Parts: sequence; structure tokens; C-alpha cells
Amino acid sequence: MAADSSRIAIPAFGTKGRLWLGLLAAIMVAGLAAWGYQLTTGLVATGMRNVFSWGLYIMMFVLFVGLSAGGLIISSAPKFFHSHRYEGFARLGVLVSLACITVAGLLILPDIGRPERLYQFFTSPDFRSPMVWDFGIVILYGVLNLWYLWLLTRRDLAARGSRLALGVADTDAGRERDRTLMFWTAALALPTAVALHSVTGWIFATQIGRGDWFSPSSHRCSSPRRSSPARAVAGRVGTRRPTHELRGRPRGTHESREDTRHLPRASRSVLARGRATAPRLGEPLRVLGHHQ
Amino acid sequence: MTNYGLVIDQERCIGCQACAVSCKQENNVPMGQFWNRVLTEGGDKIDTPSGGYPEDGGSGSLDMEYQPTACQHCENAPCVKVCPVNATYTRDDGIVEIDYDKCIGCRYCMAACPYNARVFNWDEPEQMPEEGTGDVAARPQGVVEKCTFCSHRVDEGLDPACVVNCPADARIFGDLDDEGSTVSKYINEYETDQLLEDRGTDPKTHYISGEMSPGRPQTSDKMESELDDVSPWSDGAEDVPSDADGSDSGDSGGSHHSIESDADPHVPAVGSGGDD
Repeated sequence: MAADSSRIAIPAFGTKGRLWLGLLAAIMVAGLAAWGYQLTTGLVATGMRNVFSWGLYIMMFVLFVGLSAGGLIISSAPKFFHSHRYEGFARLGVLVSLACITVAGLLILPDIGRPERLYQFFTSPDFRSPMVWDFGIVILYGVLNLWYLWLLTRRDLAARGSRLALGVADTDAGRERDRTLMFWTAALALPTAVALHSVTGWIFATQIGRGDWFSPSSHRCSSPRRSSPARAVAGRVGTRRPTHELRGRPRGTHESREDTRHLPRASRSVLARGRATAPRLGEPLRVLGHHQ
Repeated sequence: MTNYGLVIDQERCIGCQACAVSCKQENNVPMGQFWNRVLTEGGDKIDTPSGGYPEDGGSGSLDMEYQPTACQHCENAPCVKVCPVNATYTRDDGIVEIDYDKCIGCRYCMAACPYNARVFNWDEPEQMPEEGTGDVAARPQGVVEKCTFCSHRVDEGLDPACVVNCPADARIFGDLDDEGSTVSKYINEYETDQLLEDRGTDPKTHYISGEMSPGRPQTSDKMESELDDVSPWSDGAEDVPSDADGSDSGDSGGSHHSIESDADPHVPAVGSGGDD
């Protein structure tokens, strides 16, 4: 499994790849410069006083939290339920999940008036505040993603002599032990992903002084809207040629039932369908989305 | 325990905005921001009534009320509970205050406050004149600020600036835990409400409506607790301050503490030259 170079998606970056990376780096530098400008002139620079431009950041935060949860769930559900056929996309799923939770966390930063004081979340937290819990779960979730990604890849990294293996050796016994660890990490990841959603919902749920807009129902409305793209991305990650499967899906079936809380049940149906029918690419995607 | 509260007599309020302006001056509230506002209930704009004039067949239903609104200093303050870093807190004397060195500027408190009492420094706060007009701590860009009940004045035994500068004596500040204080007496005697009582925030700002109260009992810049001999709403001549008291406080050049029990308590005996 390890030494097969045909399994490496991008062995080396060509000219196009380097250009692309350069472009991304340039965008990052521009973004950092813009953030620096905002820090010196105040949040007024980005029109944060306007509900619409403020909402863009918050909406993207919620979107990326959803994407992240989707990625982790689609990676850990097969591990937890021993569905070996779908183990292949675990790594990509966790990678996407880690990237998304990083983006989600970073999206909050430009909305904070004095981000240099954020250390106070550790030194002076008020545990009555839902924001402390959300901060905690996002950090916990990011660390869990990082650990899971490393766990999933460390033996292969070691086999290829990468320093990212951090001294871990590629042995059969080690791979066996990692499988056990992966199972338990998946067992932890599933409830954590659900908690990530729920705790983010608390932020809106606990405004006793405010009306309906701040009630948890607003979060439930936003839930399907973000988990639909989450599913799409997770599907792209999970299947090597997903596009025809996605296109083949009848439109108008984006029901709100794919809330991640139903996931264990959905996963069971993945297994049930997997046994009954021949394996097909894109199957888990369809089953997760439209379990009857 | 001391538990400071404010009573605002809406029957007395004349909508002059003096409280809003003096608050801005006293606290160096940045340009474009208000900690204390007098809202108009009626028309769409400030100082405009709803309804129509009683002429040319109009309904004659003109109606307008004033709603002075600042931080309500809630007993069960939602802002205190949602602040993730304990920057907003309730003092031992009941005043809800912000530690401007702690505030991270997340504005969660602003979302939680149903009274829109808080303002955020979207950019570097500007005062006019540049050095400001009040003797209070500066707030940096990127933090939330709000009414403090003028805690810097209260700590020195002075009433908040909005209370002292209300020409209609519609604002009364005092200790809600003290049965004998004017605020406690007015809350017992008059019909008072709190804003948005159904939200369970239990504000320490109470509004009198219906029957007009005698208003703030004196117009010196001393807090009522400093003038415990002066209680003009109670009967009996023993409430009249003694000569000794008068001479003690005579350094400010006026005998404005000498309120007679039968006098209109809100009318100053001597015109005050301002609060400092």
C-alpha cells in the first residue's frame, strides 16, 4: 500500500502547480496585509458596522464549520463501523476537515476588535458564556483533526521516509495498533463533530433578552443550507470520480434531513446497503444524503 | 449592601436631551456614539409625534412620549453572562461595568443586550475637543463601552452627571437596598415599570408613569446619602437640616442644601453653577 507511487496524487508540482501555489500565496499575503490595515484603522475598514458585511464572515464561519464536520464524519463513520471499503477516503476527509476548521476559526479573527487579547479565553474565561464553549470545541476539534490526520498517515509517511512521521516506524505491529487507535479516535470524532454543531448553535440559543432571530431555530434553518455543500464536498473527497454521480442525482432532493445528528443511523444503512448490493462509487454519498 | 439604581420620572421628562449631552461630556463618549439617549415614542423621527393635528378634519390624535434610555444595569444582566472573558462584570454595588483592558471586542454583549445600550469603537474614538471634556479613563479602538452610572462620580459620593444635569429633576439616583432612599420610596409609592420586564433581566432602572413624582429631592451635586438629614417628602420639621449642617457644606458658596419641607423639593434654593 505504501510504496506504490501510482497512489500518490501529485508526485511533484509542475509549472502550473507552482503558479497556482504562488497565486494562493499572493492571495494569503494580500489577505494578511488587509487584516493588518483593518487592525490599525479599526473594524470600520471592512464595513463591520454593516449587518451584511458582518454577516458574510459569520455565515462563512457557520458554513466552514459545517463543511468541517462533514469531512470528519465521512472519514470516521466507516472507521467506526468497520466498513473497510470506504476507508480510502478517510485521510482526504480529515485533511479537508482540518482545512475547513482552520478557515472557520480564522474567519472569526477579522470580526474581533482586539484579537491580541484572545489569550484571555485561557486566562479569564467565563464558562457561562456560550462563546467560551464554542472557542473550546473549535480548538478541541482542530487538535483532534490534526491528531487524526497524523494517525492516519504516519505509517505511510514513515515508509516514505518523511520527517513528518516524527520518528514513528513503519511496522506491521504498529499498523495494527494504529488501526485500534483509529477506531477509538473515530469513536471520539463522531460525537465531537456533533458537539461542534450543537455548541455553535448555543451561541444563538442563549440570548434571553432577544427575540426569535436569536433563538436556536435560526441555527436550525442554517443547518441544511450548510450541510448540503458539506455533503457535496465530502462526496467529492470520498469518491474518485464523483461528478457523474452528483449530476445524476435528481434536483430538488436537498432535504433538510441530512442533519449530521442522524449520522450513526445513516452509517448503519451504508453498511446494510453495502452488503446487499455491489459496491459502487458514490454510493455512501447517496445513502448518506437520502437514506429512506 | 449597596445596590445602586435609577428612577426616571417620565411624567417629568421634557425631552431636552440634557442627560444625553451631559453624559457625552462627562464620559468623553466618542463622536457618533451615545451612552444615554432620549428616544421619542411617537413619530418616526426625534421629537415628532404620531397621529394628526385636529384641523382640516384631522384626527387630533397627536401623541408623543419621551423614553430616556441608557444601560439599565440589570440585576440579571445578559451581557455579563455572555462575555467570554469576564470583561463585563457587576460591581459589588450593582453597577454593571466593563474592563476596557480586558474587552476583546467580540460584541457578543451587544447582541445579548435588548436595550441597545452598548456602543462599539469601530475606529479610533474621537472627542471634541480632542482631549475630551471629562475626567474618565480613555477607551481604545475595538472595545465595547457603555454607561457606567458615572461610577467615577459615584465613587466620590456624587450623583451621575445625567441626574445632576436633568433640569426637570426627572432622574433620581440612589440605593435600592436602602428602604429610606428616594429611589426605594418612589418605587413603592408610584407606578413604576422596568423596560422589557418579560425578558427577565430585572433592570435597576425604573420608570415612573401615571402620577408625577416630586422629582429629584435636591439639586446639589452631592449624592442623597451625603445629605441624610434632607428628606423633604417625609413630614416633620426635623428633616430640615440644622445650622451646623448648613455651615459645614457652606464651602461651595451656596446654601442649596437647605430645603424646607414645604418647599417644592426640586427647585434649587440657589442656582447651582454646574456640577464641577
